[in-house]
This record gives sequence, C-alpha cells and structure tokens, in this order.
Amino acid sequence: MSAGAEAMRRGASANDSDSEVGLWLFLASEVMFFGLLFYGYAITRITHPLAFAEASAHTDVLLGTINCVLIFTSSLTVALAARCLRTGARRASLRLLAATWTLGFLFLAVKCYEYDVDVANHLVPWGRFAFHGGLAAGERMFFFMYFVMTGAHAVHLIVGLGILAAMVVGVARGRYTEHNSEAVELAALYWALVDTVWIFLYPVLYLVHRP
Amino acid sequence: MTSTLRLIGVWLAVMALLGLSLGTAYLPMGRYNSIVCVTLAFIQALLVWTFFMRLRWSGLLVRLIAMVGLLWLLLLLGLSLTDYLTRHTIAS
Repeated sequence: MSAGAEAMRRGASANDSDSEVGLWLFLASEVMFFGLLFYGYAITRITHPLAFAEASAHTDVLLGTINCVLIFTSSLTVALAARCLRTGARRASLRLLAATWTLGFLFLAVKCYEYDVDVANHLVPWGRFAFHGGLAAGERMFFFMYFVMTGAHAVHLIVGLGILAAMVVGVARGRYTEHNSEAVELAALYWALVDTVWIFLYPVLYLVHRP
Repeated sequence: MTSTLRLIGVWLAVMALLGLSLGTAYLPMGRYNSIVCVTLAFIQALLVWTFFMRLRWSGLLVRLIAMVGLLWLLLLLGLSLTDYLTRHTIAS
C-alpha cells in the first residue's frame, strides 16, 4: 500500500498535529501572497515580452545560480536537522541547524552583493536608469518586479534566519529534544517554503533570455 | 539511515534539475525555453514539498490544505490570465 493510501486509510488527523495544520494554513496564505507577485510579473511580461527578455539578460546568472545551490542545500540540511532531532541525535541536529543558518546568511550576503552591483549598473528602476531605448518602459517594469519579488523573498529569509537562530539556541539549551521537536519541524517547513519561492524566482528572473 | 540517504537523493535530484534548467536556458528554443524552465521548477518544488516538507507522510488534512492552496492559486492565475492572453494590444 502506498504511503498516500495509508494516510487516507488512517483518516484526517492520523498524524497532523494542530500546530502543523495551523502552519500549513499559513503556508497556503503565503502561496497566495507570492502568487500575486508572480501574477503581476506574468501580466507585465505578457505586455512587454521583448523588454523582459532584454532586461533579464542583465541579471547576474552566476550569482543567481550560486544562491540556488546555497538555498537548495539549506533546505536539505534543515530537513535533516528536524529528522535528527526526532530520532534523538541532538548534536547532529544542532550542527545541521547551524549549517542551515550559515547557508541562509551566505545567500543573503550574495544577494546584498548582487543588489550592490545592480545599483552600480543603474538597474534600479527609480532614479537614473541604465536603459533609454524604445523598450525602456518595459525594462523598468522588469527591474521593478525583480526588486519587489527578490525583496519580499529576502524579508522572508531574514525572518527565517531569526527563527533558525531561536531553534539553534533552543536545541543547544535542551529545550527542544526528541520529545519536544515540533518547533524545529515547523521551522523546517517554513524554511522549505522560502526555498520553494526561490525555485520559481530563479527561472523567471534569471533565465528568461540567455543568448 | 535510509531516510537520510533518501533526503540526500532528493537534494541531488533538485540540483540535477537546476543544472538542466540552467543548461537548457542557453539553447535557442524560443518560447519553449521558459516553458521548460518553469516545468523543471514545478518538478523541483514538488520534490521539496513531498520529501523535505514531508507531505508524503502527512495526514489527509495537511495534504488537503496544501493541494487546495495550490488549486486556488492556479484558479486565480488561470482565470485572470484569460483576460490578458486574449487581448490584442500592441506589445512593446
């Protein structure tokens, strides 16, 4: 019997705690929040396809890809951290949580460096803008979406770093153990959602048109 | 141990899909570039939600919330896009 059918057979509340259900409701509302940003992106891209292709080629695909590697790896380490705590391997869990925090911090550092390069290249749509041709209006729209979407993602990541730091302290002090691992499990879920958002941001911002 | 190895396997798959996504972006496929990249992103997200977020082992209620969240999003985007996709304005 597949795991899915097994869960169905056991019924609705077989292994969903109230806090897990609550967090998933929050995550579903987060999907709506980011979904609207992606919708805004979609309609501006539909109305300015050439400008989006042209502007996207000016994003830094190397830094974007490095950040993919960092954040994809961090969602592995956080999933492993939750698993280790569940099974009682508290020291391993602590190390994995600290590794996740470090990977998240490195992501943020790369993103800040990238913003700095973007500003130096006059890619910020308000102020003196790098593009002046016939596509400039659409190119402004692309970089407006780029800053809003990556900015909203970065805010979520900073919140996630705060939560992870609390988890590191909690596990180190013995507050979260194999008998009380739910907070770490929920933190891991939130972190994985932040990772999911980047999974979609990467192709739509960095890979639109690579000549 | 096996479940740790499974998580590492999922991570390797996500990384392989990232490589594929980046690689195909440099192939001249016109509009199919974006379709391929976004499809690969959906597969990556599915892997993350199924294994890292443990939906595979979740109960019915959590699965329902996750699926309904996605369903509403697709309805919202799909129905809204019918407007923009059927307009005949001159694109820049």
